[in-house]
Amino acid sequence: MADESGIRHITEEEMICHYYGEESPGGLQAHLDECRQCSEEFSTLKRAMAAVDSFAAPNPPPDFEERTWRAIVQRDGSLAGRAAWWRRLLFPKRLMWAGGLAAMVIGAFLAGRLSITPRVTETAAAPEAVRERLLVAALSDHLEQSERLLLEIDNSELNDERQVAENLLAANRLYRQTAALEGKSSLATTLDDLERVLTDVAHAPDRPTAAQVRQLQARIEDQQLLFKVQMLGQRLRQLNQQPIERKG
Amino acid sequence: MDVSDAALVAQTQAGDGNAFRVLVERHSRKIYRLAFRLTGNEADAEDVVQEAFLKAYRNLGNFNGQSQFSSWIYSIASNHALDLLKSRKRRPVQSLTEEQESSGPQLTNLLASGTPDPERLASGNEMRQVIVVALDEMTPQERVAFTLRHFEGRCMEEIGASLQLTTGATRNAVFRAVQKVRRALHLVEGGPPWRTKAESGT
Ligand SMILES: [Zn+2]
Repeated sequence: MADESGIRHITEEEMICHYYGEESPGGLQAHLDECRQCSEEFSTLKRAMAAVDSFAAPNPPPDFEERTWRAIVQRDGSLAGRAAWWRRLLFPKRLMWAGGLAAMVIGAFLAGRLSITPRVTETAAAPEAVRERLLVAALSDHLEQSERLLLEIDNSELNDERQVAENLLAANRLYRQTAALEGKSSLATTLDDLERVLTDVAHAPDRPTAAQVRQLQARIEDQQLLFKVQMLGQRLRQLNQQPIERKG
Repeated sequence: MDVSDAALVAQTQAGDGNAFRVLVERHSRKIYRLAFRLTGNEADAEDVVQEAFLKAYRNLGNFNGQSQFSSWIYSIASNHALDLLKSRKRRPVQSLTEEQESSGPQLTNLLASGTPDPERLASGNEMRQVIVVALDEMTPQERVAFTLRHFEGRCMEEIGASLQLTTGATRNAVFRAVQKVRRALHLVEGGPPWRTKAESGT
């Protein structure tokens, strides 16, 4: 592109490349510095390109990441993964509002009450996987104890059971909250049912009347609670029997 | 210290859904902004984000560890947006004419709304509308190439690789897109496109 004087001016395409810092002919900047016509054209281009920046993208809502994750998990169940929510039990960020109480409870729970030693000895196993195992073991232990408690509710005194129920309640509440937050609704529902019964047992009178015990038993039966707790425990144990993944 | 994308990809490949979740949390916002600029509306942008991550997850086996996960997911999102824009343009003939009619009046309205005043344009919402019109007038390919070049700062070569175009074709798409922007601005600002403000003002 040359004018009457024979000078080759910069083409629009060259200018655009130059604007974006793409490869452009050598000497282009020198020409821009010297040629008023081209430098004015370049200014016009820069103004136009600056105008494009007025097309700002809005900020997505604060829970966008969470929503996106839920949506894609809903569309591809395999993403939910068998381990996907366990980590939350160990690192319950959203339970921290309780002033770290949740974390403390979990810590104490794992340290003091975890009687099951995970069958994981491979040192090369991903620490994540090991932690998940501990959690699964802890929850299935919890369910086992609950199961035993439910079976022991008969016509006798409820003295020992009250204490056990009280102990189980705190952990249960935590599991239930986490399951609910993670959208594990069926687990949350079972734990919720369990919690009500545990609460009733913990608050039961020293010597309950036969009618009171029957009422409790009827509720357990109505909800098929024992069955659900057993099934859940079984599933968790199966989960822990799968070979652990090793880090490559 | 944050875990690298590469490590998260490897963990996902080993079956850890949590690792992929971290990738989603890390990149979805940026992809959303890209997708919004490509599609021009929130609903489509959200759809592009979800599709991109689903596709990435399902094709993680094909992911070549040599490249960055961020570039890869950008590329997937761009291509999905491209398909979306194409299907939008392919919609029934009557809606296409409606679209043309609606983009026409939009610009006419802008022109009729008063003496073109660059100051007012620059300050108000109108500049944005002009750009929206210009973006809508681009072909899907031009729009995607231009967005990646202008807003995302990707180089022509990289854009070409993402969209399976030669660098030359990518460059041409960007040129045509820039010309459409300038034409739209020229229509509202007045004066020949190559004149400076000072010259057109007299
Ligand atoms: Zn010149």
